[in-house]
Amino acid sequence: MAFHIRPRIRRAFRLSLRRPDLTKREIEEELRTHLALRVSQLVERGMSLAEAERHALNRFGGSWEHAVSRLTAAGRVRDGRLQARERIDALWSDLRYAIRTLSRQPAFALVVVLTLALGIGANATMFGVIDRLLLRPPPHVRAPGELLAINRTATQPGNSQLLVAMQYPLYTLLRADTAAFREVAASSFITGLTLGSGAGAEQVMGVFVNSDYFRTLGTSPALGRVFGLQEDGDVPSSDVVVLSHGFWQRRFASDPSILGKPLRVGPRSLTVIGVAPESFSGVDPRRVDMWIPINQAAVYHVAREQFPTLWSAIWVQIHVRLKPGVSASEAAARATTIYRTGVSESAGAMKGKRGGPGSDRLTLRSILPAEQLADNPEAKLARLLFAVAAVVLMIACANVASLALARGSERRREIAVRLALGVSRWRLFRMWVSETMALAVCGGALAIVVAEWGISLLQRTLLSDFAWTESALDPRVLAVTLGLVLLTIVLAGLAPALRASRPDVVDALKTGGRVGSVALSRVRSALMIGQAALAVVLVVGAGLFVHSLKAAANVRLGYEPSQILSATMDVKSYGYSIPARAGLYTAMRERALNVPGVADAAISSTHPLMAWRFGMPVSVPGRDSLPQPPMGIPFYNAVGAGYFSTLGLRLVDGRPLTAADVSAKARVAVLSETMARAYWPGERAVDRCILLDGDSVCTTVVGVAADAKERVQAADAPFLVYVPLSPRWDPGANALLVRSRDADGARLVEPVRRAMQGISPNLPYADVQSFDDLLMPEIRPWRTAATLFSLFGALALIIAAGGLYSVISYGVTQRRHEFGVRMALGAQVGDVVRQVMDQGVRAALIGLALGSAIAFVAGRFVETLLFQTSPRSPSAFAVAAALIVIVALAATFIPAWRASRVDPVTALRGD
Amino acid sequence: MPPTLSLVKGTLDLLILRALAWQPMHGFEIASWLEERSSGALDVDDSALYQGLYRLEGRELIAAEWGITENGRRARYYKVTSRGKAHLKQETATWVRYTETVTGILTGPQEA
Repeated sequence: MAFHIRPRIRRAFRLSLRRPDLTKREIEEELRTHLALRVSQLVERGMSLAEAERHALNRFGGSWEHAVSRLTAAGRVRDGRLQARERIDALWSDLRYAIRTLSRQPAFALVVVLTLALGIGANATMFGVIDRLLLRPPPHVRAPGELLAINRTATQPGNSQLLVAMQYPLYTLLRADTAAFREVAASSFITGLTLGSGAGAEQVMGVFVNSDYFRTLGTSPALGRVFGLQEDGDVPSSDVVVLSHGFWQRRFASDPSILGKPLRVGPRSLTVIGVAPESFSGVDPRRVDMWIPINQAAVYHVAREQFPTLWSAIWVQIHVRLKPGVSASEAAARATTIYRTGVSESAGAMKGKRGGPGSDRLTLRSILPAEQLADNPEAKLARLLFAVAAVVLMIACANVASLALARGSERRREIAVRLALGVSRWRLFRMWVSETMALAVCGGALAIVVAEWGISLLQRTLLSDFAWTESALDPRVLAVTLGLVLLTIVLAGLAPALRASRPDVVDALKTGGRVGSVALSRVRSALMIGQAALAVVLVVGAGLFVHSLKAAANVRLGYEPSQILSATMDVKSYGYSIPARAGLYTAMRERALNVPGVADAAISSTHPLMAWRFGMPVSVPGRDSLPQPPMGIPFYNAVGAGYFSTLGLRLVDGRPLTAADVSAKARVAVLSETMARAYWPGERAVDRCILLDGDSVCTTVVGVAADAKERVQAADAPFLVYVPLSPRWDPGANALLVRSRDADGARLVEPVRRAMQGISPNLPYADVQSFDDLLMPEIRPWRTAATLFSLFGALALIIAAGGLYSVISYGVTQRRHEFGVRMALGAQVGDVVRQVMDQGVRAALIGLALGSAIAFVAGRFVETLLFQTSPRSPSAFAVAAALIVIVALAATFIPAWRASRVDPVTALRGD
Repeated sequence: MPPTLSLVKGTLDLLILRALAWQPMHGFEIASWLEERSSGALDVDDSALYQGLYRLEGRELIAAEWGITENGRRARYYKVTSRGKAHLKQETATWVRYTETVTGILTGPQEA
């Protein structure tokens, strides 16, 4: 029998409280005692022995075996309940103990909780984003794994390009091929739809779809109905619209009586017939406001009237589901054949036009975001940032672990006492784990707050184009956070717990727990070095992306994007003729010029950041062959007076186009610098004669303008001919450019919009955006990366600095005695300071070397995400080195200074 | 001799606790105590008694320890824990209120 210790004492020292299980032998013994006593009682009352035995057994159900089995079962229930209760008690007491111990060292607890909150919070945030972008299938799509998108790989000599836009007739043909395709859907996304008119007009995102669309996706409406076959018929019956849930909520406050109401979209009034389910946005995560039958596309000038048979218009996305038993490659081969046949037949019909897609190949790709976005730079970036967040968590865990280690050696004596008293090692280990758990749970709870805030911040800033209607923090993010907390418990709790539960009892008791073991301090050094190394990697990464962002912002576009606004209005759908449009834009220009802060304004048929380009055959009399521009054909832009000064485009030679040129419809042109150089290398282009669009009459080159880049990353500039805006050029006026007096062009967006909209209450939405905003989608990846990397890098530095500081200052506290002796023996302040700082700074330097090596190797993974920046940029490494050294010096100096202030007398007396 | 009463469900636990509140006892002593107190009117199955004891042990309302009886046998002695005492007090009050109410209704004046 184990020696008896009272339960209260057992509890106080964490000894086993366990009530032993009831064994079968015990039950039998108890039973036997009872039967014997009962029999003797009955015999005393006058029964015969045999009768008494029978009677006694009867009271147990008749037989011995029966009695034993029933009691054993009851005993087992008892054991189970006691065990469960004991476990809960133990857990509870562990937790209470942990909280009590921790509350005695609130600074330690606070540092650990904050470290974990930031580390875990950053991870949960990034997971939330990754989850939405890469992991989660689009909501409300039936069997999303089976839904495939048709892509086209256009192969030209030298490069191949993956395109998602297809021709409408291909959709019709695929739908007819019922042997391979079970369901086929066509859709076309358009951003510039106008809702309402006049001053209250706004711009909405629409998708043109067939009735097949919702059926193929397997989506049923939240309210009303989606498109049926009747909407595939003739135009008049399809003046209907299905609203997205988010739009319905935002615009109509979820009014259930919306069905049947008219909604003015562009020039048409559409009847609302349904509302899509919550957070449904098709297969794309992009925000959608409404779905419109595709046969309305011509009305909105998304396609021409003849679109059902037009092979030259490439504008729809096609999604399919295959017949059972048909493989994706089989279906892709069939689709390719159908496509090639269709294109070559139509090319035959439209003689003279180049068909040439004979080598195009169609492929089927899963719509699952993980596969669809695999090559997308933003997805790549999201994955990278997720890795970064994981590194921050690792640093945080290392921090917690080294703090816990420090505490562990501080408490060696206490542990030794417990072990000497016979507390089981397992129990001790559990105490440690539960202490870490208490911290991790607090850290995790706080991390949820951090993540909630972080995700909503990212949603608002970096990912605002996406359809986020559901709550930011969903159960999966919570589950992952919880998983990370558990992981942290294991990582941060295990090592110190293992170490702590195995000290040499006698040794620890003898030395009074002052001397930490060598192995322990080695682990701590390794953790410090690791932290420093990881922090260096992140800081280098931040440096690379900040450099990329700066490089991108410094690209010479030929104009100053922050000063220029683009103002467009989709009046084509409203039936404005070319002269009427010119009149409208001219009126808008005059109003815009009166807006305070506007320096200049000009109208044009397109501008560098507009998606539209117009091709123009150009020839030069007397020359058989002309240099080919990179994009196959020269483009032209019909511009009004002041175009060059508004855009700030420098005239390299000659003069700009003037108001007089426009009113006189003069045959004059300005060429882009690249074109002029290519046509007349080393000579002046001004005063030359060019023939435009098959003319036989000369157009005189009057000037050469600097190239205007269309994209930050554009490698080569187009051949561009500027001509005076006139009815001769059928794109007509499509845009108004406005130049702001100062660099804050965004400020003018609303005033200019109001000025344009004020002309007539029936006008569609005026889309006014600064060039900065138009360039944003291209700059955004670098900006996102630079911002988040800097944030995470700073976080890593702070956490690592905190870790370094606490470990060093812990060491100083431990060695007070030693420092006291040294000072007493005449050591100089500087010696002590140097000695203490030495340890931390050395760890930081080794970490720096290690981190630089990792960053150097890992650089190639981010190379494609950088812009005009080498992943081995010396400046990024230099900045990281300087930062880590400064941080290490700062973090170690304070404890070192404290060490030199130790009063020898107090320190020596203290023991 | 009047017919013996079978136990209302749940009362056995209460009776065991009441018996042990008096003094720690082993199983047979509890059985005898119950028979004595009820003057043989309560018929407690011995098997049910032990099942009840194990159940109460599992709920930590009673605790057991091996001991030696007067005539030298080894027996498990049960005693009420502090939780058990509190439980007994509370359940007794409930039981009394319950029976008083039911009795009041059953034996109250009848309306014709």
